[in-house]
Amino acid sequence: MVLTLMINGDPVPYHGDPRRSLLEVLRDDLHLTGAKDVCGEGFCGACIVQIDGVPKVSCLLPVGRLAGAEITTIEGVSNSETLTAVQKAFLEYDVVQCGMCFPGMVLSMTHFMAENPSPTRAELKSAMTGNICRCTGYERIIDALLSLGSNGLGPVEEVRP
Amino acid sequence: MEIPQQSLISVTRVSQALDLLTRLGETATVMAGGTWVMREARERTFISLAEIPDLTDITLDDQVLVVGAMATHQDICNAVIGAPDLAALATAAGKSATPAIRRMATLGGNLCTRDFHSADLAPALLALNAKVTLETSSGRETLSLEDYLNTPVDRPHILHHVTVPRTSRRSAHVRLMQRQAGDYPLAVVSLSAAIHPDGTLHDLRIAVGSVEERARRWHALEALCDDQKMTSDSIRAHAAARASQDFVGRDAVDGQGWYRLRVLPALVAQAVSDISLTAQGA
Amino acid sequence: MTLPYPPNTAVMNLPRRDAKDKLLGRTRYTVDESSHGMLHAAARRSETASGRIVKIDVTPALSMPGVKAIATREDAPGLHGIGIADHPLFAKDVVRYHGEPLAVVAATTLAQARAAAAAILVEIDPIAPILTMAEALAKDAPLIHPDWASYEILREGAARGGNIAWEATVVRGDTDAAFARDDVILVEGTYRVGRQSHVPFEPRAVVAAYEDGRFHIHTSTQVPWTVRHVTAKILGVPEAAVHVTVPAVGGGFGLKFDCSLEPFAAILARKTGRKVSLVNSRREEQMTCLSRENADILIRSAVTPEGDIVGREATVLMDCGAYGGEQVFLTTMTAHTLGGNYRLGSVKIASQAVYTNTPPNGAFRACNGVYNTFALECHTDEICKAIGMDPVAFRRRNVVGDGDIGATGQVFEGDVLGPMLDLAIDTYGPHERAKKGPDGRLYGRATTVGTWFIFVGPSSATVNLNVDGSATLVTSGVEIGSGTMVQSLPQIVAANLGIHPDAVIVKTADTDASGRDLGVGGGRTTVSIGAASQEACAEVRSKLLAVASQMLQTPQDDLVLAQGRVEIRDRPGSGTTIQTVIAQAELEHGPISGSGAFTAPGIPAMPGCAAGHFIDAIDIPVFAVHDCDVAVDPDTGKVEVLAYRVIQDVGRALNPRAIHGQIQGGVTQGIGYALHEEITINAEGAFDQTGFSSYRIPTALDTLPIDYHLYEGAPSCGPLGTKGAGEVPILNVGATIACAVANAIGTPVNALPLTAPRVLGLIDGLSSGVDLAHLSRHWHENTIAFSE
Repeated sequence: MVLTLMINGDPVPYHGDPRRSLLEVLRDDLHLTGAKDVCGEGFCGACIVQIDGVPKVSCLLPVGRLAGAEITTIEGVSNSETLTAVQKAFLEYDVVQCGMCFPGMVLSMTHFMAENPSPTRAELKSAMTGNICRCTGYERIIDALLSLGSNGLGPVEEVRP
Repeated sequence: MEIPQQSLISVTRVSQALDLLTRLGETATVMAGGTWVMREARERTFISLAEIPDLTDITLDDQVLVVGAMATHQDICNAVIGAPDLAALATAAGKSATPAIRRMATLGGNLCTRDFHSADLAPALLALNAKVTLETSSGRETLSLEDYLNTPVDRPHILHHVTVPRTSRRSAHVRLMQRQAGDYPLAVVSLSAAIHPDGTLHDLRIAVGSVEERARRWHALEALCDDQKMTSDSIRAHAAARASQDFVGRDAVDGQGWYRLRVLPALVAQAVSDISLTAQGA
Repeated sequence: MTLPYPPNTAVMNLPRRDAKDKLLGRTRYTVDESSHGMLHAAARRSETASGRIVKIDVTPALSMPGVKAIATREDAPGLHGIGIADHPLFAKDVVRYHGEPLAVVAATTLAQARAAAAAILVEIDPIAPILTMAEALAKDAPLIHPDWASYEILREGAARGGNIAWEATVVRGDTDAAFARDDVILVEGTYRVGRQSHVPFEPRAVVAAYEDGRFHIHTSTQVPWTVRHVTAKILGVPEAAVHVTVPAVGGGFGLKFDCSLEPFAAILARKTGRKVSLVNSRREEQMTCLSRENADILIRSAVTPEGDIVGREATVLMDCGAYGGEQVFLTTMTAHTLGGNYRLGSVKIASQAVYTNTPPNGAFRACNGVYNTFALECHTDEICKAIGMDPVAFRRRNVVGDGDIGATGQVFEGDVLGPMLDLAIDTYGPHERAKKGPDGRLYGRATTVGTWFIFVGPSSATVNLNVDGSATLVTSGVEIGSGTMVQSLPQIVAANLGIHPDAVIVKTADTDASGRDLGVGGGRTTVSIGAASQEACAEVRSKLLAVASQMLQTPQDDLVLAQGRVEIRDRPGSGTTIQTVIAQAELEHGPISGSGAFTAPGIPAMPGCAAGHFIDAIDIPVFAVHDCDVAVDPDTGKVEVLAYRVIQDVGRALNPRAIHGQIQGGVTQGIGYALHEEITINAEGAFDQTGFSSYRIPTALDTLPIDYHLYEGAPSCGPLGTKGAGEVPILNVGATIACAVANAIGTPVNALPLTAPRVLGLIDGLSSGVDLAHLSRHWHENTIAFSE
């Protein structure tokens, strides 16, 4: 099958089995390795990308269904000069550990925060259930997101020598 | 129509899907949201329904809720949230799986994937007395969801939409997992009931999911509750007495049959008390 | 040791320098490696748990599309292991577990490699597998390793035999006399725990190349030098022919504390002359996980009515699976974990690694300690019930303090656990009686203590001072996610050299560039690599200050390094920049660098107490007090953790915010272990849980903000008095939740995980308990070394 994928604003021709997952195509063909292949069953959220602005698990999306869709991967959400507010909050609250879950976490929670600018802790936790993290125990990620709220980025403690 | 030599075929009409299903037989599978077949069946040809217009439609008025087979869990939750009689459906659609999966997994996939034993929408819609409308090569037919689940339709067919009558009843959906989220439920109880002005529950419809391979109504318990003034405690006692007679608990990796049965009375009681609470709040 | 700088200059909440790229999806883990011409490999694994290999025929697979090479048992005849060399790379004549590698295929694409691996003809004559330790220890049980006596011994001194791969014992004092006293109460407890899977998001993965006659192994590991050693041993090549580099590791938790896939990829790289990538599929990763081992534990104690523990006997069976592996070493830890926490009048402990036909186990964060602490603390609460004493008062009376001796006779320094317990009760309040709440749930609380240690051992470091005033730290450390490489180490070097941590370049592990190291694990990085780094910095300082002393006409003792300058003490602005001094030094002597080394200081044990141990005494003990409240639903058995509190002995907290991250993450992993992470082994000897759909790791809704207090000031030989803080947070989570659940439901808890069905079984009185009929109540009968 031949089709054109729109990935991070660029048209990308695809020739091959339309049943392959978007995740395989991103990682193996296009070397966009930001989306991670972790569980392969849609449970962990490490492969989440946005399809027309909506976070979905790319391991369960066949590329054959994506002609015409706007696909945004972690590589497409920002560049190192302009981090998104969610990325900034994660950076300033020092919440990253091994880092494998964060591309998916960023794409999920950026969407959620855009739709719910002042969420409660409980709402944030429910929204995060499809983004599993084995390192952090989540709560500090929630703290970082709560700092975004309507009051903008909260103060960040850092003791310098 | 000509069958293209490719392994994912996007059809734009239900009739095309039926035609392909008939011709390809076991070598093809219908793809709705994809969250099951992408894990299970990648050797088969996917017949994708995503391009069929109006299969994602949801209409809700005072008389009826109609949900197209390709509506996602998230779509359904958004559409019915706040409707007191459809609370069971809102919970089933809004609490199952994870947010990203709820944006992908569909009503049709949930009801038609017979290998999936822990569907949430199935018991909720059973309790709401839903009807399913199928498209077959001999035309459109409508039957109760209960019949559809109990008796497999072997002919090629596409589940087109589900119809739920609107009522002044209340409903609730209780699902038990080991974790707080992200598990398939070990047992599900959906309940719909009429509430009398004195607050008592009548005419209960109770559906049980995940305990056996397919969701089904708990008619024996419903009968015991008929014309009785039911409380959370009394129904619980009835459920405890009936559970192991009426169900054979399913042993699976995620949980054993005895446990699914053991928790049923508490889930039924919880559903009753959830309904009573919303009734008081209303 | 007196420091040449105020220790607080090393303390700060330095943010991670690797976070930005991780948030941008740019970090390239081993699984992200790709290059033109790189081959992909796939393994063919046994689907039989036990059997004799009749045939492995690769001929049909070799001619399949894209296939470049296939490696089998002929390519790797050697055996490796810890303590004993019992483990072949590929199954040789027999298979001993479901999932054991039989062959690996390299092909142009992964799909081709998998197809060819599946096409290899394998014929195995099945033998009835031994799936439990009870079966393995039964009289006349078949031997899983009939040739055990002929295996190469890598460490002398342990009793072995039958299906017991390794036995470590402790005997101190006369327990027989203690148990025979007429004033004591005897309390017996039996406990059983299941396995826990690490589930690192990056599975075990490697890319190997064969270049200029040497192997270059780029791998996701915690132990580059172990990979170098084991790969060379298996391939029969000099260790110098193996070069290991490690990029960012996507989670380890101990799973990657052993050589794993690397030799397979190395063999294929040599055969093909191409780069070869080998990555476990999630299913393989899960089903061959070197899990935290399942264990059976028997503890018997003789306690006086006043609450003194005059005698304790314990036997701990640790399932090592088909090969000894890490469990051989971990038998050592029982003496310090189950034998820890409390003063014991006399003690006998046997700790055995037992072979079964199940996937081999490995190391997992606070390995051995987690379940021994669970058993010990449950047993402690049962003792309190038996003698009618308050559990906190009993612990306060018995925890080890300054001058007390441990199980192996080592003398502890400082009162640590006692004051930590006092702090817990002062802060969190006294225990109330367990009660049923208005919501029908059963409420309980527990406070537990735990003893862990820092796994010290050899580390080395080189510090190069660059002309721009920055410093490059070269070690074999690896960033596995815990932050030590990007936080505590640059903080230590920066404080030593008076520069900002951002000016410290941290070179990640490369065995061609950095000195030997035991690896990242056991809470050792900040301590061991930190100490070596500090020593390297001392050499750099002295070279730098010698030159500066001449330049500034001031004795070295009056010079201080701060903010990138050398200053005369108490006269800020009087000196010069370190760049100026470095330039002068280059003119006079050349560039400035220093090297440092560290190893175990070697705290003595009581001679003759311990046999079969790799470590007789713990050099840096680490203590923890945990406290939690739970609610149990009597209708479903579901446990909710309502509050969780940690007081952790950290020595000195260099980066308190990063330690908070470790506590939050470690306790959450412990909640998973305590409540819902479960592995069951089916009749085929395979794990039932094959992935995320069935193995339940905590989601955001399954944890809670952990209340924590960093307890500082306990003695430590670590740099600046530090102790590792990343491993210990998980130590007593299983224990604390179990004790709180027991308190809530009024029934002893003797098994983990406390899944809802298990708890409901306890409430209903259906649980038959853990009888451990395969263990004798006569301690010596459980041992090899002391049985008559």
